[in-house]
Amino acid sequence: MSDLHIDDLTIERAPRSGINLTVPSGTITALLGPSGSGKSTLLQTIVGALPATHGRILVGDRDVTNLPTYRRGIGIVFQEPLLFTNMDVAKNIAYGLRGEPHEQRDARVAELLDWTELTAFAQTPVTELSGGQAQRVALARALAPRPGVLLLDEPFSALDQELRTRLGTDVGDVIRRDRIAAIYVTHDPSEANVIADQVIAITDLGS
Amino acid sequence: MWLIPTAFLAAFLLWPIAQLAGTVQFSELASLSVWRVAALAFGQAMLSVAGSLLVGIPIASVVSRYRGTRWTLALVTVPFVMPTVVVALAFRSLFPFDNGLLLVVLAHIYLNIAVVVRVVGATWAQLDQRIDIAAESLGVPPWQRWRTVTLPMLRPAVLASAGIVFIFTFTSLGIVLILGDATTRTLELQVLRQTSVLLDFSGATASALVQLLLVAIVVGWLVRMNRKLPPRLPRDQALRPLPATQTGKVRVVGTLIVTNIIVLVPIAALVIASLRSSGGWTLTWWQSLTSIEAGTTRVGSPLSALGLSLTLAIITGIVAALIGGLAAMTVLGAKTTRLIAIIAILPLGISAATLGLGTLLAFGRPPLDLRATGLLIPIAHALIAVPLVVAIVAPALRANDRRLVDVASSLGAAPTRAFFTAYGPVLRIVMLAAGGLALAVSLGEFGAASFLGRAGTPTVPVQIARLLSRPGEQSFGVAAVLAVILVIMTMALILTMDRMAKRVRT
Repeated sequence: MSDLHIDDLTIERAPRSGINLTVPSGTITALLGPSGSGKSTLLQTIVGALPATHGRILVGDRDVTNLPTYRRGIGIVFQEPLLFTNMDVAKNIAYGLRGEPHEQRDARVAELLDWTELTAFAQTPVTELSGGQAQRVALARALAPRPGVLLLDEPFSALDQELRTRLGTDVGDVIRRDRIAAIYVTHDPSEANVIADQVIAITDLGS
Repeated sequence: MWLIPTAFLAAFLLWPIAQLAGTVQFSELASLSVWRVAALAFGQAMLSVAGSLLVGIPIASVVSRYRGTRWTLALVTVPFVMPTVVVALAFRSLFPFDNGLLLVVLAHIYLNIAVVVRVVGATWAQLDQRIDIAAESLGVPPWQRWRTVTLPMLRPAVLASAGIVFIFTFTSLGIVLILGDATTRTLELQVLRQTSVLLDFSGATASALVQLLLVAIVVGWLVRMNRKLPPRLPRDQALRPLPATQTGKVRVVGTLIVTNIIVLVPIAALVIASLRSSGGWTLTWWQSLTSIEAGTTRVGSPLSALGLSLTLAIITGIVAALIGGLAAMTVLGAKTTRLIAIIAILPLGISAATLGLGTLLAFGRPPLDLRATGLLIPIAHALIAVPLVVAIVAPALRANDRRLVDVASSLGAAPTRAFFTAYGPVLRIVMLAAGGLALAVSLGEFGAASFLGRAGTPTVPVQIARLLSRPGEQSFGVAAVLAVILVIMTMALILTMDRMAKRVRT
């Protein structure tokens, strides 16, 4: 897997410009900052939902700056699960595996259902899940296509402390095992210190 | 409070329908010709639904989701409130070709864009745009994401809007009468022909009942579909800024420009038709408003038609506001009286021709012939407008804090005074707004008026239809003038009503 390099990145109407950041593969970089400091804007630019006006985004040595979202190989999980309500749990997880052979896809879904402890809920409509279960499905869905980079935009902030710690540890294990470069956005310094390999304040990025 | 609307609805809605059902000969229901027309109307309605969705969904994707699109959204609603005969006239002046089915479908699409945009757009606005980001980050291109995630999530709203458009186009009258040919007949038109041309009341009753049955099936399906729609957020909360990418901006702005053209061109064609003759620009048709009698005595004077339409509209406004207002007030009472509000909504699913024919059977022949009194049209118009009045007044009353009545009572106010202290301010505004809407409905209504009108002076929409059935450019020009006046009057009423509704919200 590859490192994520952000090189002199400027985003239109964002509070910061000239952002430089490197996230080595198999590590988590926590990005700290208060609301409105541009953390989510940065993640949405990295994933390709917002355009960069200047600079480059590299996954390994592949320049993805001008690629559409679906060609970047960068996964994202938001604060809300944002599951596809027209699909059940298994279909949500399998969504990014289109084009893979059936056996491989089914095996990957089964593996992730097992990881999320939701095997019994495979055919359950996602509208019937609890908040914690839904967020686990969102994580499994993002991890399913084995992204090189994973962006986590305060994914556990709506959950209780115990679940937050457990899920944080589980996701951290997968990220390190699968050599994913991950950015974890939070405004909670203690959470950042527990989960991340490096902690950076957004105010220290660019100018 | 409940006695007046109950008596009105029983006499002028339930009794005519009972008359209709009582008159039918069951052998007529099995008649092949009724079902042949039903099949034709079904095909035409399905084409109109498909076209409305094709045009409406892309517009909904923009005007209901992005900031800065308020004008276009308001504009899209304009065709929906325009009288059908006016739209028919606009399309007649816009398109020189004579393909009935194509003209009918195009006019239906124009009238119903607002239904698709409003219903689908309201649901689309609720979809978090980050769902699109999440889906595309999984390697799925935008078109595939739209097909597999966005569209299925919009499905209940798309189907609901399709059902509403189907009902409107399946029971279309004004459009098919003026623009259609043998391939576009509807049961509604069949009822009118059987009643006024063929004098085949038995056949007309069968056509009306078959239509009523088919519409009831679609309404039942719609009710089920509506339960699946998500709760709505306030529009301003759901709107997002224009897309940041250049292509996104071009797409959005392009859609806005095309939408404005689609809505405004037929209206412009109407205005031009009222100002042009074969010799060039002219004000002759506008001057003919007072002097047309000489050449077109049989269709009556346009000014008298305007006078009659205004008089009937004012009576309709008062009757509908009174009956609908009282029916809406029953939602504040006991469970049994709330039934009145539900019955008052019923005419919404009953077509103008069905209502007109039922009224004619109940009150248009001895022993009780009310045709000469001129009351039948405002009564039928009031029945058509009452559901809209209930739909405006009932939610406003429900939103008012009921404890205000208790507060007023505790200060010594008698029950009536306490009620009006609590609800008076809201009632004053919503009743005026609802009355205004009823007025607009009456001004543009064609179906019931063509059934119940006397041979002499017709209402403006009926006058327009009669003028269009005559040859000569004077008939066409004067019809265009009447249509422009009708559009101006309807728009003025709708805008005033909209302002009042805003005052209630604030």
